[in-house]
Amino acid sequence: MGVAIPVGIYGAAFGAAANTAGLNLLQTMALSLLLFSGATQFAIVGVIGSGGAVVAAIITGALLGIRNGFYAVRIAPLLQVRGLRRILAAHITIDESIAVALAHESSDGDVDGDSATRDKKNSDLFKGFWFTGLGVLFFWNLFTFIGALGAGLLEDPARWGLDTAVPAAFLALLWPQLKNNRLRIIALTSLLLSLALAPFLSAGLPIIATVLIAVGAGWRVR
Amino acid sequence: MAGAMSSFDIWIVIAISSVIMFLMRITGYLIPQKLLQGVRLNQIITLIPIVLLAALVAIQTGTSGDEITVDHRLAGVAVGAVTLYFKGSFILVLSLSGLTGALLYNFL
Repeated sequence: MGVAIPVGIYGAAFGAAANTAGLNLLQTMALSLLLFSGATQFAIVGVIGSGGAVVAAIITGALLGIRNGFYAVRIAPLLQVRGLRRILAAHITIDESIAVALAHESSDGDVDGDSATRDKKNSDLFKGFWFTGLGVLFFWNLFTFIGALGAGLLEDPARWGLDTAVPAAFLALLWPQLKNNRLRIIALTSLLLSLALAPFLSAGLPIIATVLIAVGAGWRVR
Repeated sequence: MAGAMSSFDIWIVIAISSVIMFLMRITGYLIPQKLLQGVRLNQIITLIPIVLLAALVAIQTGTSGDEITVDHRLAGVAVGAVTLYFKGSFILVLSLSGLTGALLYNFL
């Protein structure tokens, strides 16, 4: 729940932003429930609020959301879900659930070790994914509702340090995954590339572009 | 405002965007795992969340819209990084960075 609450409270800022952009309560809640991807939702209401076109809103949203597809490819073989649960797992495949699950995967360094340790690690990964994903889904929607009703107090997340705590939370979840210098350099390169591209590419693209670093670094068979 | 969307247009955006999002997510689960078993592809897929999360931290910390910005967030996240370096717990990282960010934002 460590991540779900601060991220969830951010939902209030989304509710307020959607309200300001001219969405009604039902539309705002539909985005948080059915689309359920923070950055994408902010981008879409941003385009709507600035008088943009339907197609522009859809494309901007998709560009920000595509990383969830990449996450799904990574997490699917680890979760091994079937049937209806797969649909739910897909819906809660977000930055937070993936970051927590993978932080558990790498918690104690090396991959081998006895089977008991491995089982424990798998169940932590599993729990991390489901608790975080469902927790964010719950709190994000709860606070979207509160924000959309006009909770002025929560409207500016920066006042409460939330705009700082959220990236710090992602950093904390990334940290245990950076097990050696090679991975640290890859992460640092990605950080710099996204910042370098930010002034030139539209929202979402500077993040997705770093997949090229993963391709480059993973290309050589080791 | 000139190009403002009608309520119907907004519903169209919501419906299409939600379907696209779901398709992007479910595709990742439906790709046959046999196709993803090459060593090279495996290495790349393993690295993808690492590069995406690193970029996400960078963008959330150091940009506003399409501008690079140095503000309270950078200071707070830097405090978080130091806390992580000294093996501080997750909740300590969150508290110290959030507190730093909030203090600088409200009182500077």
